[in-house]
Amino acid sequence: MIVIQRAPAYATVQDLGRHGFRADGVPGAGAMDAIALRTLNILLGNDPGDAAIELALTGGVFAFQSSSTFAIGGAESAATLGTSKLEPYRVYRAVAGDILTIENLSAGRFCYFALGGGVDAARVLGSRSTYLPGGFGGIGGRRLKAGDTLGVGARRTTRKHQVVDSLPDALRPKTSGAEIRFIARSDESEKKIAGVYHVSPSSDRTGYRLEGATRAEGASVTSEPVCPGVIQLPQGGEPIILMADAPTIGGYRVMGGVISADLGILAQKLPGARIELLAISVERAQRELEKLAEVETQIEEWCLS
Amino acid sequence: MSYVLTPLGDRGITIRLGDGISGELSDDVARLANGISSSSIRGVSDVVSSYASLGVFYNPLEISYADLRRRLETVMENAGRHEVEHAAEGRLVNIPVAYNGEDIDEVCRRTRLTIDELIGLHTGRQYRVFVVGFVPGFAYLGPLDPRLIIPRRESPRKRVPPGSVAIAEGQTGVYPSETPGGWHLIGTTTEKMFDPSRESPALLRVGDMVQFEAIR
Repeated sequence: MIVIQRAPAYATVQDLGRHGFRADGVPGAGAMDAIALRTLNILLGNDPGDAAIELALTGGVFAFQSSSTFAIGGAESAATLGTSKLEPYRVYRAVAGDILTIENLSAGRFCYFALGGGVDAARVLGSRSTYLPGGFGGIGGRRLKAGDTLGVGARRTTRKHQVVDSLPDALRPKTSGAEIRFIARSDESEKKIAGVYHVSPSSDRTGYRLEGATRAEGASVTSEPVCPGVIQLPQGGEPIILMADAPTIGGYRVMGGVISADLGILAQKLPGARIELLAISVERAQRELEKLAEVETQIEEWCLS
Repeated sequence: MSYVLTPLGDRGITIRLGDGISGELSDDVARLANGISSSSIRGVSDVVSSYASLGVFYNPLEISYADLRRRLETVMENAGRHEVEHAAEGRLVNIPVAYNGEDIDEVCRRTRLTIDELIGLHTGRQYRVFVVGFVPGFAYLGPLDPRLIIPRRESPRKRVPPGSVAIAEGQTGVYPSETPGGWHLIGTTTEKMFDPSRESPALLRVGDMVQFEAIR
């Protein structure tokens, strides 16, 4: 068990999101940087879809009430266990009474604190993810606050060495680079949306607004099913990219969708960050996802070596 | 059946059967959605219907875009041939309403109806569930009697209480949870429109019909 001593400004329990209820109007929610969460879970010997704490904006202080392995990743931070400095993407063991402090989130928006066995919240509609707008999932459907006690799931790993060294850079999730690749709708021209933008300050778990080149062809349309990654173009002409908590249907013109392999990279972009939307084929997007799956296999092998 | 099929990122496919809002299009969408769902295609997690289009969401590590596209094209060819087999299995759902909404006097004034006339018109027909979305469990119902059509409120409310029965433009609906909203509130229901602890969390699904019943 861990107790939250000082709550981050915006922390929720997230796994890889809920599936199968979009027809009921239930969005997926889930980790904004799913690749960072998956990587941490694999390092810990967890299921890739186990739940962790997602922190945004500020850090927090967590007290271990029992011994547990843990790892942090995603946005950079200054983390300490007691007085020892911690590295990201490395498994540590804490014992009862240890205090974990995460401070100074930088070079990204979302930091993940994952535990061996995962955070043990009740599943709602098949997932432990917090969906704040709906008030369900995670811990009471809300942000974590000081005094909250979080259970840790039973360890399932059969791995001999549970504490693994710092993951080599080559196997860590890619965070830098302005290129965000997308697949254009077959009935829309990719040229209408490709190009350079800046991430607007009014961006959150629901969607990222882009500023910069205003596109003339924005419009309201008959609502269509949408999902995270979808690039909408409202009347104002500044695109919105839907993120994890976005509604299941949308009434703005849809230009295309950001590929899964780049959605976590986009999620980590701070307000003002420059991005370039670049069109690729759906086949190429599929290969990028297969490459990520290969990296995960390499991480598993590296953990065993 | 003429349609446009396009990728929606690398985890979705949009099939657009037309444009605008009509019962005929909605029937076509519901029939196709049933056909796709009952085909149990491996890797497909969600089939979502809207007014004139549907979204099929999948795991690209379980099925490729090309394979899924082929499967969907086959379903569409068959849906055209065996319309009866895939007929939408909509239910009729009764929703009791106390017509005591905050905006009911203003709606009566703007539509030049008495409260009893408004209740008579709102309960006087069955509505089709066109779409479920906006927030979990919010069903867009219609079409409204033309005499009840008024534009949305000029300034949306920051908080609409759950269970509020509302109208705007050609549609009506019930707010399942406390959300911002720009529709006119004409009544309240105790019916739970969304409950994440239910196996089927939304009370209403696309293809269902709804009958409002006035309670005193």
